[in-house]
Amino acid sequence: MIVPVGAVLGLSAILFGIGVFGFLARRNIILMLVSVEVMLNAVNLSLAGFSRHLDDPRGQILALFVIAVAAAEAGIGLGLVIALNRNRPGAGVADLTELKW
Amino acid sequence: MPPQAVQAAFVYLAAVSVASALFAVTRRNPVHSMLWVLALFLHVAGIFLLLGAEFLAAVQVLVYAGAILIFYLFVVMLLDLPDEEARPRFGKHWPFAAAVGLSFAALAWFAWVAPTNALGAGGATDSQAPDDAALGSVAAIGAELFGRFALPFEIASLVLLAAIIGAVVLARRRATAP
Amino acid sequence: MNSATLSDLSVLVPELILVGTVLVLLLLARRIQTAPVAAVMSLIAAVAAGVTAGMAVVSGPQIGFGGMVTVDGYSRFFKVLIAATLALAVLLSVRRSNEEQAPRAEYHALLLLASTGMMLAGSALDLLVLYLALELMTLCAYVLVGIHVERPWANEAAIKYFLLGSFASALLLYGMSLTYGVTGSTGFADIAAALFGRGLETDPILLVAIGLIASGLAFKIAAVPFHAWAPDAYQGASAPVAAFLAAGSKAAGLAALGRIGVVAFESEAHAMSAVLAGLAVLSILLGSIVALSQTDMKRLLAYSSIAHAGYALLGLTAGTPDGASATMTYAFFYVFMTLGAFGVVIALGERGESLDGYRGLAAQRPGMALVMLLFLLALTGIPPTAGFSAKFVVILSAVRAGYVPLAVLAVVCSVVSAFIYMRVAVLMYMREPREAVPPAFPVAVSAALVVAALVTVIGGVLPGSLSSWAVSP
Repeated sequence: MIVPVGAVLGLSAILFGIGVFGFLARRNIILMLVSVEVMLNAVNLSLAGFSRHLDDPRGQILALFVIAVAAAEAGIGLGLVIALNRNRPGAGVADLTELKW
Repeated sequence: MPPQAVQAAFVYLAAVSVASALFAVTRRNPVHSMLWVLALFLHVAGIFLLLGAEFLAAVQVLVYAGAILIFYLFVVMLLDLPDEEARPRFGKHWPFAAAVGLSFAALAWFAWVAPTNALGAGGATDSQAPDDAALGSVAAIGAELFGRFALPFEIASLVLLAAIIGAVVLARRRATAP
Repeated sequence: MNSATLSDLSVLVPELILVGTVLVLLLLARRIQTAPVAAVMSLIAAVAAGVTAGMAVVSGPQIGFGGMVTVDGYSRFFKVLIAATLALAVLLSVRRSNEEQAPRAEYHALLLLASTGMMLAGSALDLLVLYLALELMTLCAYVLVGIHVERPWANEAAIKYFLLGSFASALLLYGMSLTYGVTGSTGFADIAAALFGRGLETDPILLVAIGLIASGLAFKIAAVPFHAWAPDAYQGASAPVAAFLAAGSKAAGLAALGRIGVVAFESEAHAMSAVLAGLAVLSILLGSIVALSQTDMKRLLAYSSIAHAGYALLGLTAGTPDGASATMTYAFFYVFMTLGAFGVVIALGERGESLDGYRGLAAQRPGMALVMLLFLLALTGIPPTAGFSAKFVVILSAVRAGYVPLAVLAVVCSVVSAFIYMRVAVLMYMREPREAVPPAFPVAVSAALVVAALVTVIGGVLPGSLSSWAVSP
């Protein structure tokens, strides 16, 4: 393989780390969701890398399902954000104080 | 493509991916974040192509960049987050978050250990490139999806059904009085 | 490569019944907005699914879809348990007609879909199926928590649950991806074979993968430190949804953890045990201690459910088939105890949600107070209730596995937790009532309470009678 699998995995680990940092550090709901998307992209990258390394299509299939579920999650997540925004404008987690965090 | 060109392309795609991911999670303006994530998605799709995952690359562009991201942008603009500029970007505990993120990024030592010993014995070794068309083409993926992976495929359709019901229920106008 | 045939579908009959009912409900949604038809249909589907699951092949494990799912004693046990959870949750959802209602058909469709996901999670033999099944369960759960869109606190609970849930899913997925990379497979049996064959016991990547998978699943059962969503979600959700989540999500997560630990990572039992033991200690300690200071009944039950997740994990820390069946027994009895306790909260309506609402209940409604007392005793783990026999088997299995300090801690925390539950009992029996006599229960809620109470009593008096078919994977 011309692209070494190790390099792909390293890249995926770094992207996953960035996503984790974004999720834990940001206080804006939408940006937290975006950070999760970054994490999922990192996972897909590692799956495609493994798939290539193992010469096995399963990794790519798994990645396809991850994308499908990510689409479903985005639908529900943004639906929740819209419902929240109708009740209370502004979408920061810091504002979510009705219940204890 | 000659090997050097592929390697150069990978280095470019990887560098831009990391940079745009960093920008995406640190920008103040959500719309800017979205655009950086778009750059990330497109470059990841490029890496998929280099890995021979053609169909995955197409789906990445169509579904991730085309549908999911546009949906995010739509919501961000619909909600018109006005005072986002004035808020602190990160919570007070961001050093903790950075430490956790770094510890995950430290898994990048895969780059050194992975090819040598740890990974499962696959059909392809680093010296011989597998036949791309056999692995990531639409025909190959389709045959797998509707053969061996028929059950996960059906469960995925249930997941999407649940998402449709959920979106309809959540976005409905409130309290339709009887 | 083999393609699916009709015989593969026979493995999934209970799930197919639930999904079919979902489709009918959705088709008829416009017509059944007001009538209790949706509840009756869901109840019939739940009973039918439970019966078909219970009658499924006794002759031996059966595999479907090329090794993706199975029907064996283990999956049958959890399918029946989930069907029972669903049936009780449907009964508890029946409201007095004057109360505001979420869209009935969609609500029940989501309950049924979530149960389908839980059942599939218990019978999955492949990481891919397990992931999709768990996602099906949690996606429905997010919506169910937030289904009252007009209530700000429900929105908020759903968003917190959703954010933490999608984060946990990403961790789980990364763990699955690494497992796939290390072993070259996603099927549990192949993973186990690859690990045995290649001597990867000390491979750091594999350890990371196990840690990530355990974390992702710990979120589903609300074990500390992945518990932060539970109190908010239970408090913000309507009580029947909270009951369904506390019982069903926990059972499904434990089923998945048990199967992965005992089958896929069998050769890694020590690593898995260490992770699970840590989760168990933290959950038992934090759940018991924080519950002491709660004044909201649903929040109190949420912390109690966190502590109970810890007790249930004690069985799995042993990493043996016996330990797994101890955890199954625990999950079984816990489901009925917690559904029962939530059932009383639901029956009392608004009044049942705060601790003060229980003042003097015994004087006003002795029957209701007695039933609540039974569930409280069971949650504490006092004989002769099912709670005692459940705790007994898991603590015994921890002792057998050599985790004696863990067992001692569990016993001590049980004693501490007695204060939590007895506080409610004292309020019911030794305080003067301050509020008006609560109205009578809806019949459906009473029926659910009777079933839950019967199981709790029978499980305590004849411990072997109901749990003897807890077969490990």
